[in-house]
Amino acid sequence: MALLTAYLAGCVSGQSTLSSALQNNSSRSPTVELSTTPFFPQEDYQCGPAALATALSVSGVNVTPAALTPKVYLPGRKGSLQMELSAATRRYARIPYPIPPSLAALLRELQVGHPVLVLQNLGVSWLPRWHYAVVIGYNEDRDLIILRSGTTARKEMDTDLFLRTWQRAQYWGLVVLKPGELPAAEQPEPYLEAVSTLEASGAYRESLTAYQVALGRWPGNFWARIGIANSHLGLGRHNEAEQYLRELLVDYPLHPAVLNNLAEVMARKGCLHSARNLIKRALTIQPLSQPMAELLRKSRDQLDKLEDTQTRQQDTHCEP
Amino acid sequence: MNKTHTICKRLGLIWLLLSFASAVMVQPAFAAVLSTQDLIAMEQQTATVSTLEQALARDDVRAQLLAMGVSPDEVQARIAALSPSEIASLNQQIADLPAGAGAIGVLGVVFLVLLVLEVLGVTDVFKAI
Repeated sequence: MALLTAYLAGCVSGQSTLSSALQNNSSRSPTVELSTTPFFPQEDYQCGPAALATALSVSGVNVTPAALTPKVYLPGRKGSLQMELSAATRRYARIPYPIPPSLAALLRELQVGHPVLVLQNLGVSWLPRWHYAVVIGYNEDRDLIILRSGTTARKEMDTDLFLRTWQRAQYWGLVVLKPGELPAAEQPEPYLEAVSTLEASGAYRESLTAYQVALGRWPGNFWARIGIANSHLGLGRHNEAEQYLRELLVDYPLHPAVLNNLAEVMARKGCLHSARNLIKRALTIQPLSQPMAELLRKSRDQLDKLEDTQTRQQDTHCEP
Repeated sequence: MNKTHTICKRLGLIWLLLSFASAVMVQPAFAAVLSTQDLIAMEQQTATVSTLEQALARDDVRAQLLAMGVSPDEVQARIAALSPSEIASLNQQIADLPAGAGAIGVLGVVFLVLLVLEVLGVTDVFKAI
């Protein structure tokens, strides 16, 4: 709706679509073209592997569409799904960051040097022709979007036509980020959520770097801080994880997840008594969401079982 | 000969199971650890499915990927790289989600309809790729 309003406003004032999208943009460059972006011409139905190879190459991964085909191509659908492009990105320890769904957000990423992998519907809603391409630039004077697309190394598309094809794909755009690189966006949440999926895939070293850089950009951010602690935990660095979780506990003394994960760290350090006390404290918090309460009870039961099998000793040396 | 072959196969299977088990059991968890992803999902109240339901969804998606022609060698790695919310969406809509392919292979009536739309400037099938 906002986009439509912007579009109509552009029509009324005689401004081009690109100009209106650039209006509230601080670093307003009239043209951007990331011309060093590599190009892999697509074969058959392989625009997914080709576009992803382009985006991964830009982030420093040496990969060809042929190597990506078995990772993303779905023969039964004669194409590739968005989620599998994100998943394959994680397999190369890169962050699949979905940009906010707007032309303004797309332009901002281009301005900081990030090509954007986009999904387009080149047909119509009731007769879709889904296609992946990589946007590498724009030209405000000529009202153009520039892409690496299919078998065309440099394709110019009229902005309005590009927007129609992109809008039919819900303005889906993906930036492949190397851990340590940040998106242009102001909002930390979508980026941190993308990093959290990388963490969950087991790439802790990379997620640690990504969270640390995020904390520099958004100081005090809770998700970045707990992400750092969890990445350390994943790497088996218990002292570092404990330090970050205890610092969090100072600012959020009654956060059940912080208490729960700190309990895990303490248990791994052999401090079962401290671990149990932390869980007990978490269970007194009111109100607790149902999944959280269930999880804490599970943690408590696991720790009870462990402590029963060991000599009960006061591990006071474990307290900081 | 046949017997030796069977024993080799069995040993291979045991080795495979052991290596899988050791990969999983590197770091035993004492409490139920919450990954950052779990926490964000809880915050957004999307984490209503249990671990068991998640495992079942993974099995379903695996079967669907195999049925759609993904090679058995690749399917495990593809599943493992998907997040729980991605697994849930795939499980429900794998047949309907957009599958980006490009505009190759447009035939017959579809071709004619799209050609008309193209001339009208509604679509960009033929110049686009």
